[in-house]
Amino acid sequence: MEETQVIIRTEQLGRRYGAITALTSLDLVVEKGDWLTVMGHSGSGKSTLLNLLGGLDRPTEGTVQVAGQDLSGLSENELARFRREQIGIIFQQHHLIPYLTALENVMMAQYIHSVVDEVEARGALERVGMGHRLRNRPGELSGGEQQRVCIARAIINSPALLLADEPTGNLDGGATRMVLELLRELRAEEGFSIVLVTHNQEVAAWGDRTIQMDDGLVIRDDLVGGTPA
Amino acid sequence: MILRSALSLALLWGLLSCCLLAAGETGRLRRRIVLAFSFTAGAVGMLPLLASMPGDLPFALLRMFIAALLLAMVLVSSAALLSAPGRGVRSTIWRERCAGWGRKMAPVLFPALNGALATAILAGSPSTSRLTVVAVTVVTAFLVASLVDLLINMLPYRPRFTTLTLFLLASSLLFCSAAFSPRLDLFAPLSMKIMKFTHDFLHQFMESMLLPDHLFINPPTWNFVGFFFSQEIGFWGALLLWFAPVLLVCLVVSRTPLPSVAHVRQGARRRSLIAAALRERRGLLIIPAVAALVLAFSVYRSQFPDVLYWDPAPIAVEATPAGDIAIPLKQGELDLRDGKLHKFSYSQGSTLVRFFVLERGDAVVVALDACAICPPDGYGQGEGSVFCYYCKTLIPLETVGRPGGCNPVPVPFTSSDQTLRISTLQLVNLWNSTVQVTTKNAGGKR
Amino acid sequence: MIMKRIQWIIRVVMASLRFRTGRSLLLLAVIAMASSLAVALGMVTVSMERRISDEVRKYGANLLLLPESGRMDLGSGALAFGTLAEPAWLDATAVERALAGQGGRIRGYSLHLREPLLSGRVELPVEGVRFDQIRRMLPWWEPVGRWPAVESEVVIGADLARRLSLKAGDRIDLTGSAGVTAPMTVAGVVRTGGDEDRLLFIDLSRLQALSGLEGRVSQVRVLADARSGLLPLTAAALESALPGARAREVRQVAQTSATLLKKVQLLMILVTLVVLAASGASVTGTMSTTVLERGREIGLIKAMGATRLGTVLLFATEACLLGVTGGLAGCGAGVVLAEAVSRSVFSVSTEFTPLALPLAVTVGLLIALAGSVGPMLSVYRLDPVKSLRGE
Repeated sequence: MEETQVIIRTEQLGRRYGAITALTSLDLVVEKGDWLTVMGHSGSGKSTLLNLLGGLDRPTEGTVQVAGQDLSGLSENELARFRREQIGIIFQQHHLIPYLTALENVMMAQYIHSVVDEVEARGALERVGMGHRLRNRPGELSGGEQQRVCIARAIINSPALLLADEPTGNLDGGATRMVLELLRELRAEEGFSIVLVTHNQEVAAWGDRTIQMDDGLVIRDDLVGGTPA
Repeated sequence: MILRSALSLALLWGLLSCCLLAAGETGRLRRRIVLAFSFTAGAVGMLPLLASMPGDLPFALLRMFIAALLLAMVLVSSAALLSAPGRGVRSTIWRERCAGWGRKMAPVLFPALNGALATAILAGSPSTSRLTVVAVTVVTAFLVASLVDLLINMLPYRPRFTTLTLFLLASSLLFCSAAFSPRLDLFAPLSMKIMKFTHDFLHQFMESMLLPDHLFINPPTWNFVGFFFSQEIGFWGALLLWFAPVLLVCLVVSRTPLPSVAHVRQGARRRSLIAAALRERRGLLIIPAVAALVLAFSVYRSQFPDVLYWDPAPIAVEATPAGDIAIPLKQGELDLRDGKLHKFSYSQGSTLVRFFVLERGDAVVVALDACAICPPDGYGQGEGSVFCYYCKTLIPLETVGRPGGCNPVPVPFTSSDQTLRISTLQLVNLWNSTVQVTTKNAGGKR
Repeated sequence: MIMKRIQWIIRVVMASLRFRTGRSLLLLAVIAMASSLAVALGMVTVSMERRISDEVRKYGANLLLLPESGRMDLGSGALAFGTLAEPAWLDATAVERALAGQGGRIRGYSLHLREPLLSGRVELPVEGVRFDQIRRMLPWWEPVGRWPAVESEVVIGADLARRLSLKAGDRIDLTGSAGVTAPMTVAGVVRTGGDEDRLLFIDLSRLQALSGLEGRVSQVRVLADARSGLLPLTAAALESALPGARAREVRQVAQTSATLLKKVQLLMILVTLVVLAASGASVTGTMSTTVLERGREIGLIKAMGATRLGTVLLFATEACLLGVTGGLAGCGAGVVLAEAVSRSVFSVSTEFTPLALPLAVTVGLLIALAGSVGPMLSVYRLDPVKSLRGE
């Protein structure tokens, strides 16, 4: 596999919190443009993996390379820069800033990245179908709508990797489908890779590849174990 | 005292050489040699000037150069603002050509001027052995320059220079060096000139409009008009001119157009480019900010000069029954012909007259300790000059004894048998008329 | 379409402040209160000090020679001319001799004699002076009209002139206790804003003759060399040269106001310090709560790639905005407070000093920033992973 085609490469990646081992010797390679689903019950180490990939946390063992950068060698400020330039994050609790409107929430991401461009931010919200609710605060939006604002915010800076932590955890079936549909569409247009954490089999089916984790170990990888059922 | 100003001068030179080194294009070693050579040339070249020209002339000459530099900075920065990019091809070519010349000229011009300044300040008084001082100065200058260079190289962030900002900082450092000697300082004469200019202009204006003069204007109006005659107008005006180059350069920098990003498809990339350009533009403002600090410091220096003036306590004298004051030229330890300022006071009724006796060149001069313009704060003696405490003007010794301006008002006297004789009548009248006018002129502010 | 960085930050900060209106207003009030106290303190101090130095300067003189048992009735506004408990005088010749003996230390002096004279049936407070001395000692006096040229001309204080409806050029007859009436002409009207406005100034020797007090003066104002502690020496020398006379430094006249000012100042300084400390603490408390509440938001901003300093900057701007606004509000309140204090304590109104504005803003900023140092540190330290996990 050529290096330019790889978005994530981890070698013997491990993370320990004191005596607790959250993640052990993970070797993972994800190709550019792939949609990787990580499954497992809570405490299986999938959130830890996501934090390590997003440069929010540092490994205690091994190395993690994302978009050609070795994250373990970066300083605090370089990590912040990596996050704003390469990573888009979507959370389960659609973490939006409560006092800013939908539009301003997207603009905040622009501000953190470089400069604020209102027209572009509006365009991004229109793309996720939120063009009619630009001036509403998060409290006035439904769960699905909030998650769509989050998606607009996550993709506004054209990240190489989109990390989604249970993005549909709080949504009903219809909204879930809409969100996933949106992600698929955007991936096709923008070409970013997705790592999505979930414990829902149906959601996992939307991805290209699924790994199953337990106790900080990958117990099943359908690239190794064959195509999913 | 001289040691302190020498050290400060060396530090300023170190900074100057550093920014010239940082801004140059040619090899570092070559630039160093050019700088060193120019500095030495300036320092040594000042020597024959000091030796051959009388009194204050070399200083006036040097100050003229520095003043020309300030004027040039104001002109160049306004021109730069007016010919900001995007005003046609020709202006761009001109800008680049000027910048090229500037870059070539700076490593020679500034060190040479700085060297000359250093010599003039440190070896200005004829008593010291000039050659030794210059030699020590040059050696110290190099040592300090290397030290400062070493320290600056340890800084994590290196500001970027353009020709304009280089000139700005370099000339600010020069002005600051000049402010270490009241004889070379530019700010005080600048404010004086502006004060005089407004005064004369208003005067002429009022006269040409047939407006009545001082005495006939009612106090409130006079207080308002008085502002334009006051010291403040000179100070603020000079301040405006002083910082004009910095402001103009800041404007030039902030008007630099951002790169065109319309062709970049991806929004994030576009914004990154703009953010980078903005960051760079902000970085260009660092040098003007430093220059502003340096200029502010030199204003402070000029307003509160770190020079001690010879100012003896007045000796009270009595009049003879004939109404004359007789002062022997030499009596005990008192020698009026030692070239120093000697102050005397004479009281008649409620009037206390202060006057001084001073030998300049070969002639003895008697003058009031007050001038025709300022409130009578008196004078102190500095190197080759007396200094008006009120308006902080230096009056060269050569002109002491002549009337006019801020010169001490001369007192007529006769001298015979090694004794000066001054008529008390004339003295008291002169003092009263002078002081009455000047205290009224101050607009009751003091 | 690019929005300026500062514009964006202000927009965000304003939104955040509006979102928590109550708390923002509370913070504003606290900051405004502290800065208003500081402003009031500064303004009362400045304007009272100016007034005291004016009082000293209006006098021209810095030493007063008074007869041993004479009453002093200066610097106390309402008592312009009143009950002289025990008439006592100084001998003019002796005084002049004593002053001449001091040599160069005396820059100038003026002789004064205050006696009531009758104009028709009205008793007028009259001060006998030598006008040449007055002009030298009080060069800022500018009579409307002119200075008297001959002995029979007088200068009249503006208030008295209005009361008697006199103007320059009018005639007035003055009768002394000796029963002699002298016709006088008003040469000029003077307004000083002080007690002088209620007095009639006539030539000293004329007053002495009219009231039968030849060679007597009731007060001598002396301008002596005041450099480096010379004044007390001169005063002592004059007292020893003039038995039966007291020499007082004029500074003492203003002393009562100065002492009162010191006390009020001390009180205000104490109050201000307490209020500053308390408001700093309450800013810290409020800000800490806010930061705790906004932990998730801070984590989010950091997770999106803001640096630690960048995150702190947002919060610092918020504090600065509060500080500046609070300071401005405090400036207004402080001016009112200063006016109230100096009216009730000193019964004069303050002048507005433009310096109050920067002072208020600085105090507001200082409180807001100093109070939020701790919360700011926790913003800096906050770990995004932890704050985002906590639900």
